[in-house]
Amino acid sequence: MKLGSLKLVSRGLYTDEPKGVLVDTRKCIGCKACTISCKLWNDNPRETETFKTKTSASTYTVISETEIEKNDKLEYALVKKQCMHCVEPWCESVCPTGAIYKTSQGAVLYDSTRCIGCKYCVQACPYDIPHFDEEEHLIKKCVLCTDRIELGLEPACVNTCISGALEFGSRETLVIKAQEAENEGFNVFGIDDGGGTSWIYILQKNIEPKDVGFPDLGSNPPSKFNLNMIQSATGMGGLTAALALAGVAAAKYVERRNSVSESSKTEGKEE
Amino acid sequence: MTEIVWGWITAVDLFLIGTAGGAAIIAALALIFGKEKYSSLAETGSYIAPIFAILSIFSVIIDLGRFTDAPGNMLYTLTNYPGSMISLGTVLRILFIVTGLVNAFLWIFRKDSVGNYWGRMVLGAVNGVLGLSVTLYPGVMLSLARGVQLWNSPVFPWVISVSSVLTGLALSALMVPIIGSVLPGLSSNLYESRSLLFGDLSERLSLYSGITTLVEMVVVVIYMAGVTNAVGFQALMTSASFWGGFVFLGLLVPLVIYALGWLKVGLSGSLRSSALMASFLLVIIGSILGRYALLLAAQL
Repeated sequence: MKLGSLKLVSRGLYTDEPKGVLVDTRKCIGCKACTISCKLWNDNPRETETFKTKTSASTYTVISETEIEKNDKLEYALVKKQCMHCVEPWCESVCPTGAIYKTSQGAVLYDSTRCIGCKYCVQACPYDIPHFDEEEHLIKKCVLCTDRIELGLEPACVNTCISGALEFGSRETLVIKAQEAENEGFNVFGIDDGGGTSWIYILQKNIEPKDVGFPDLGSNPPSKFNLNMIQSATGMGGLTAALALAGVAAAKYVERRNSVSESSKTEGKEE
Repeated sequence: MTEIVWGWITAVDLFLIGTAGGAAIIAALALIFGKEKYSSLAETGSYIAPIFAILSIFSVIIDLGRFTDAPGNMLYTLTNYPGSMISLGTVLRILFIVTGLVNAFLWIFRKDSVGNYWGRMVLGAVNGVLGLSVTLYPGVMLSLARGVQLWNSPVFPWVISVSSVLTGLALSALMVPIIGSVLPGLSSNLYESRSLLFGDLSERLSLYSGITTLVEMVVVVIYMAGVTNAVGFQALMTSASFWGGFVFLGLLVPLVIYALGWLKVGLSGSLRSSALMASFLLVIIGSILGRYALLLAAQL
C-alpha cells in the first residue's frame, strides 16, 4: 500500500472491503463522458475514427448501444462495458503464473512482469475483456482505477458520469440496491452471474441481460465450472473407450464368422 | 470472441503434441498387444513421440513470443502454481519427452536381451499413458476457456484426443516404409517390415484405422450435437477447413479406403497399399486443418 493510501486509511476514506460499481442503465444518457475520462486517466490514445463499440487494448470501456425489437416495439439500450472485475475471475482462474490477480478491494489486476504471453486469459473471459497488445506483447484492460481508489477517489468513469448512472461503493451495499430494483421487476446482472461481478447492472424491465450481450453463465464460479467440466470429460472417456472396444469386438466377430464360413466352404469342397 | 489470439501456430502445436501422444499410444498398443507382428509400428511410434513433442515445445515458445520473460516466468509458474493447467501441461510434456527419449534410445540400440525387451515394454507403456494425457490436455485446457463456448464441452477433449490417436497411427504407419527404405541402416526391423505393413498386414491396418475413424466420427457427432453457441456453430458449419479438410479428406475418404482394404474389394495388391498410404497422408492433412478450423471458428 502506498504512503498516500495509508494517510487516507487514517482518515477513514480508504477501506479494504470489496468495492464495486452499480450501473443503472435506466439513467444512462449515452454521453460517453465515462469513455473519454477513462482514456484520459489511463493515458490511452484517442479514437481515430469514431467511438468504438467494443473494448480493445487501447479502449478499456465503451458504451454499447443495442436496438432490441420486442412485441413490435423497438427498445434502445445503453450499457457501459468494461472489465467486470469478477468476484472469482475467470481470467485469474486460468492464468498459469499469477500475473492476473484479484485485490482485496475487488479489482482484477495484471502484472506484466509475471506474464508468459499464453493469452489463456483472453480466451477464458466470458465478457471478451482482456486484450492482447500485439506490439507490446502485454494484456491491457480496465484496472478499476486502483490508483485512484487507493487515493480515496472514485474510478475516473464514475467520477465523470453526469447522469448518476454509475455509483461506486462497497459491493455488499450495491448488491442490496440491485436486489431492491430486482424486487421491483427490473432485470439485473452481476449479483451471482458466473459467481458474481464487481460491476452490477440494473436493466430495464423488458430488457434481458442476453439482449445486451451478457453471457448466460449460470451462477457457477470458475472453480465449480472447471471441476464439473473435468468430471464430465472423464465420464466421456468411458464412453469413448466403450465405443473403441465395441468396434474391435464387432470386427473380431465379423472376422471369426468369415473364417468359419470360409473353412466350412473349404471342408465342403474337400468332401 | 472477436480477437483471434490463437491461430496457425497454436494449431500446429496442437497437431505436433497430439501426433506425438497418438504415436506413443499406438506404439504401446502395438508392442503390448501386437507383439512382434507390429513391432515396426511400435518402433516408428517410439521415434515420432519424442521428436514431435520436442518440436511442439518450439512451436509453444514461438507462440508465446515473450522470449526474454517467458523462460523465467515459466520456472516461476512451475514452482509457484504447479496446479495450473499450463504447469500441468508442461510437466506432462517434460515427462513424456524424457520417457520417450529413453524409450527411443532403447529401440535404436535394440538388443535381444531380456533387459532391453522389458525396458521397451515398460517405458513404452508409461509413454503410452503419458501420451494419452498429452493428447487430452490441450482439449481440456481449451474446454475450460469460458469465453469460448464452442470449446466448453466435455466431449471436446476427446474429439482432439481420438483425432490425435488417428494421426499418430497414420504417421507411425507411413514412417515404416519411409525409414525402412531411406535409412535401412537405422533399423533392420524397419528395413525388413518396410513392405509388410502395407502388404500382408494391410487388411488389419485398415481394420484398426477404420475403427478409430468411426470412433472419431461418433465423438464428433456427439460434440456437434451439444454445441449451443450459435455464432461458433455457424462458423464451424460453414468452415471449409472443417468440412472439406477434417471431415471429408481426413475422415470420410480414408474410411472408404479402409473399408475397401479390409473387405478386399475394388483394390488389389500394390494399388491397395498405395491407397492406404494416401489415406494416411489425408488423415495427417485433415488433422491439421481440423485443429485450425476448431480454433478459428471458436474465436470468430
